[in-house]
Amino acid sequence: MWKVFATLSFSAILVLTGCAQQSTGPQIKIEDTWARPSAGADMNGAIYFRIVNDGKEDDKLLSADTPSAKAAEVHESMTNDNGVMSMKPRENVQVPLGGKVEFKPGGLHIMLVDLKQPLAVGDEVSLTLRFEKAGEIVLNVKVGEP
Amino acid sequence: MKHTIRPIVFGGLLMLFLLASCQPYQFKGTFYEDPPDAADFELTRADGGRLRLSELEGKIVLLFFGFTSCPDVCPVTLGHAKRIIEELGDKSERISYLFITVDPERDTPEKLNTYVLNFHKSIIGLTGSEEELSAVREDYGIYAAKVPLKSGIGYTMDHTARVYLVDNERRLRLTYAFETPYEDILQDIKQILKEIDSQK
Repeated sequence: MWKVFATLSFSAILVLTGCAQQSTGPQIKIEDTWARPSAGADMNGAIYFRIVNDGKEDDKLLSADTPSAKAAEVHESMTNDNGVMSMKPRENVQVPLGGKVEFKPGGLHIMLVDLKQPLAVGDEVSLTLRFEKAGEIVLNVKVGEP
Repeated sequence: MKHTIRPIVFGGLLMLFLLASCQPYQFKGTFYEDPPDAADFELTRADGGRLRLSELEGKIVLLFFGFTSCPDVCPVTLGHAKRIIEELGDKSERISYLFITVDPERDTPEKLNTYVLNFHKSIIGLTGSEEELSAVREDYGIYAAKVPLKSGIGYTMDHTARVYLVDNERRLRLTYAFETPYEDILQDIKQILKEIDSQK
């Protein structure tokens, strides 16, 4: 009897361990977050970071939100060969499995539209990033020296 | 054999080093072989009054065209302006940094002034009528266009994001692409100041 019990328990442990190892889906980490100090009240701001996907599945950043501004939008700045800069909202940003996506000055950024308060170095902004699979990630972003 | 090669190699290296140190300064920005006169203009200062470019003759003038709702490219460039001015120390009195709006519709003089002062007290914000501003843009080959966006900001301005350097004799000497390290611009300014001093 105890042999059957031991075998069953052993099998259960194996199955459970297997489940843990197979944890699928994306594993999203947000690194090196910082916000740019704003230039006065009712101005716009920008937040930068790196998204790392260490999981086993692609993911997508869908949107952003913050209580500190009228809106938080995913934008991308681009400069063409003639030195002309443009900026466009992005509907989503792919984060491939094992990949990294940089949000940095002159490129992808979260634009804070109509800040409620000016942002000074040392302040913190709460930012929620919504991913298609990883769900919501809430961050406290420090305003840093650019 | 070894004894003969060593002095040759050493001598060669020394020659190369001496030759390198004789090279004239290589400007970091895109320079005009035959610098044209920078077109004069008169615009409204965000802090009041009018300013003519020719009033600044004798100084090195840096020009940048942008708008205050721009959250990314313009603050990067003006952040560089701040560093350049700070690192020039006393010499910063010999330069003027002008930020000319491409979005007079939203950039009231007050808003423009708050914006530029936030980066450095010596940066001058300039605005004007649409006609005045478009004439300046045409003279300097600046592209600017209003682009409606599905966004809380309503519209953005596509615009040339280069920095223009006008020398003390009001000649258009150099331009810098967006993301040029500020140290490069700083080094070029120091070089031109050295040239000016050596001509005295």
